[in-house]
Amino acid sequence: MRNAAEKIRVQCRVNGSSVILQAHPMARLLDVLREELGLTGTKEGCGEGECGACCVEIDGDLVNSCLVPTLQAEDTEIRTIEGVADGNRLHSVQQAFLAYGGAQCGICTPGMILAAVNLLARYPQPTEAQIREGLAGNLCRCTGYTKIFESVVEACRALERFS
Amino acid sequence: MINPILAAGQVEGGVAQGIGLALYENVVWHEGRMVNGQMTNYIMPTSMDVPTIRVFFEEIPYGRGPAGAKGIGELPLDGTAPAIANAIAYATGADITRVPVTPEGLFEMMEQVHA
Repeated sequence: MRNAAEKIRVQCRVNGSSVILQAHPMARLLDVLREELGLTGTKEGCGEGECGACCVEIDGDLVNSCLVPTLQAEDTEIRTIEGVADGNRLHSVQQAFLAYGGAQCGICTPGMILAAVNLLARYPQPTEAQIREGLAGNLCRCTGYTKIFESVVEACRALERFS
Repeated sequence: MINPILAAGQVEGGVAQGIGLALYENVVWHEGRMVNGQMTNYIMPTSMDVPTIRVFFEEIPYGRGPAGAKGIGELPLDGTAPAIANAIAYATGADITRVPVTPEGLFEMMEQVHA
């Protein structure tokens, strides 16, 4: 059996680039993304999988990266908030958050945006209930969710216009 | 208003916190420590719990603030819990004497009225 205190080599793709991570197998993916790769857009909120601030996509699934041991990242495709915009061109969800006040203090924002992007990939024209449910794993203390909800609705409209 | 979108966002956020204060957010103390200091057992509202909040402003310039402005961040929290508590009192006849009004807490307060 491998010694858990020893660092291992984990190969995966992060935001489209191949990377090799050197990390303890049980290191939280959240810490490795932030500290090894410098991708500090992913936030730690509660550290116990309740708040969604550390959301990333692994192979298209939305996960809380504070609950993912780095070991499990082997051969996966990871997308963080840094991989949502196309260069300087913001994603429609990001643009809508800017225009409609979806971000206040900003700690929940990266996770919220990833949750919304993930939701729109699954349901391009979500109902109100689907939006509320899609964001339910992401806690926000400042906005009361109303502006976030409006931002997602606006992003749906924008995506429809461009497609 | 200096920034209507942010001002409305402050009110919506305050109302949501007020909903949490009224219905969910229970601080449990034991021997001087908060025993439910985790998001798993300290419950706050999610997007499923907060209804659409409609915000209207009546602008009355404040003489001592810059450009007639004054702060908005804290006030919206104040009215929500009393409004919800009054609604529950009206609906149940219970005398709402503490928040959050959890189902078991409300049951006790209703028993006191009917005792």
